[in-house]
Amino acid sequence: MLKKIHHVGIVVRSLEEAYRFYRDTLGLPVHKEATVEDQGVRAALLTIGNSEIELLEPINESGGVAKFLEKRGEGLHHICFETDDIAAELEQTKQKGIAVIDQKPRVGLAGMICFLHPKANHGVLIEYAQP
Amino acid sequence: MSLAKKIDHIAIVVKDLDTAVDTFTENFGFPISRKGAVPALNIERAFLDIGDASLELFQPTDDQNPGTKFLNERGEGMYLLSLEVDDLQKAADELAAKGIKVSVQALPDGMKLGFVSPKNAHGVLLQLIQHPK
Repeated sequence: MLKKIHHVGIVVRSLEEAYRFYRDTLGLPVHKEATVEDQGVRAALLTIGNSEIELLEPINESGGVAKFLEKRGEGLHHICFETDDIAAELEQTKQKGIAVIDQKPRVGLAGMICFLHPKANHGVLIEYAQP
Repeated sequence: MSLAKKIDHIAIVVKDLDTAVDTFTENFGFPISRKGAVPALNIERAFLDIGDASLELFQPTDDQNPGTKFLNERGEGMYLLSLEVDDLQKAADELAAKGIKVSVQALPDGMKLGFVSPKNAHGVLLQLIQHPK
């Protein structure tokens, strides 16, 4: 079962510059910051209510986030739903015939995560996370 | 102190509302809380609830709605992030003091909306929303 919005992902050119607005101007506390090598990003989670805003800065030119930035510029990138059982959730999703990017859950900044294909959801990139 | 208290909703612009509602309810099982036209904004929309927030699927009903331009240029997808505030005027004043303009709009049902330009929010069209008390 999908319980809540875990976070909304936003692609930015520079975490430091984005902090000036999201952390300093809006006053959202930075809860976690880390480099996620296999996604080619430096990422931060900022707390808002019982969800978070994830800022994503590409650290190389080949990852999906870098390509997004080059093609569309900074902006909204994905929505992540939280679940207690990501393996079961992903399995159920695949059984419904929904196109996925990750066949198995993997480690991400938000815990165990997986991405579905945006073509399955009207252009919206959806992530599941089990913290 | 955070200026906004929670994510209220994420708006997703779609070509056909009924098709999109079917997709999101079938794929994720989120319940529909509200559905219908909003003449003041030139849209038809539905809210699907998840936790204490929701996804708003909306279909522009004419070319005046900026969602139409978005659809033509980029196709369907995430359009806007809406954060809830207790007092929109206070939040707008605080942002104005920091050099960020918020354009405020009141809807007939008492809802108050403030919009921060994507130029100020790193490409994100950011909405601040105050629900009627």
